[in-house]
Amino acid sequence: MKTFELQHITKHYDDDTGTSLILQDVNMTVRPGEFLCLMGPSGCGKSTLLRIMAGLADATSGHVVGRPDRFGLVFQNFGLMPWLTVAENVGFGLKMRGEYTKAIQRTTMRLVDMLGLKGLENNHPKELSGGQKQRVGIARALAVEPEILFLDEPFSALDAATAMELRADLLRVWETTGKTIVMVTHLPEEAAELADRIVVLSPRPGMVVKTIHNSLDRPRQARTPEFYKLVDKLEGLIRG
Amino acid sequence: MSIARYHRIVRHSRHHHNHHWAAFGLLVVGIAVLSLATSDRGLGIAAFLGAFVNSLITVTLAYVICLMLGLIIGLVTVATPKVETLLLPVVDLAQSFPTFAVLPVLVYQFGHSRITVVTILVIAMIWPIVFSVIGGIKEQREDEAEAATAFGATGWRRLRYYTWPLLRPQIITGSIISWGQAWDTIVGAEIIAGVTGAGHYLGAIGDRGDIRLLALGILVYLFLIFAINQLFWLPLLHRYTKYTAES
Repeated sequence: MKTFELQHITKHYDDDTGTSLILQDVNMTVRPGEFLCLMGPSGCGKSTLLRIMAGLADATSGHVVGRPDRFGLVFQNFGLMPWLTVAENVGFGLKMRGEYTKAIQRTTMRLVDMLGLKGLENNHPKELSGGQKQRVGIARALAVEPEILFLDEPFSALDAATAMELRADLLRVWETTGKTIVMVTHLPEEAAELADRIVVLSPRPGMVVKTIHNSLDRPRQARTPEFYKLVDKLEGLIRG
Repeated sequence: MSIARYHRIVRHSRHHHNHHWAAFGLLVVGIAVLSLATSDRGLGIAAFLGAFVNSLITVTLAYVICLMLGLIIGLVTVATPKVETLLLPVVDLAQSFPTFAVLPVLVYQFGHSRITVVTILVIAMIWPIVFSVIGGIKEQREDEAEAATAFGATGWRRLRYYTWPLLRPQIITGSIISWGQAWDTIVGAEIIAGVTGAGHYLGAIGDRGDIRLLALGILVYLFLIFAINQLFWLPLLHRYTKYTAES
């Protein structure tokens, strides 16, 4: 993947009550192989920005330059198809691409194994725990061999212990595959633990307040003074 | 009864796994008893069943047309907010159109033929399907729809692998209501159009003035409709709603 850029992105919605400005003049870059977190207070347009990056929403003005062709998307509430099994959900993107059944099966089995879902291939989402559902979501996103992985608050619907487990899994996936990751989060601790760079947005309309380079050594220790210092800094920026 | 209410009732009752077999047993016993009871009264259970099969074929044909048209009308109606604003009042008005008001026109156009009955059935049956499609699309979860888009579900593939499975439970519920309308409408339509079938058969008994025999005939008719619901529609609904709760 090449570096891709957001240039002067502005987004507003028109509804019955008038026009709401969501994002204003957002400029940022995403570098190949990096783990980038988008942070900001609730309603600042983080998820909208992620969708503009992915090409799922249009910006009112501005440009996205060098957007990767293939991307995977992981949702806060999983977005799994309830009528499909785990294996079918993982292979959904490949099926939509018209891949052969055998190739889909091979990829699906590899990812089911990688994400610790073995034995659950024939279960439906209703029969899974929140953590298992999100593992399916991550496997589905990886199955399409994305150049970049977009994650929209992927751990916020999970309990603390499961979220911690999945963060470790995501880091393992990132380190193993070398994929570029852009993740939306509202938790400073999460960004401090995972990201190479953190882009902090202002309250609505979202504007880039600061981009922080996270130079903490990996694997990151969450109980060090440096870690807490970064978390405090992020909290301060979000609160304004 | 609204689609949502029917759905709730059916979902509540679907836990009784063996009730389909019980219904089947009840049907067999019911028909045996009724055929004994009617054998000396001249209903002619075999002839009546033959007439019922005729009606069943007519309803099935009308249903297939309704399913295709209903899907198209429903999907077009909610294609975009602008189209919805324009078309929804038209669809709403059309569904309240009195079905039998067009029967004289149909008889004039197509004569006393099965085409007349099928057409009147389509007019009566299509709306629950149209509204189940509209309801299903409007109630779809945003993240599922977005996931389908993000993972490349477009055009025919989207219809086949996302829209159809998404709408299936709603369409089945709409179909159950639609078939209910059909069994109601076909009796009058067959009598007026003079086309053979269960309705026509019951009409002929009525003309003879044998109220007790007519009551028995109606009972057999209800039994058969009940059997189709229990043995076909409810298992189908159970099968496709089993996994559709919260993902």
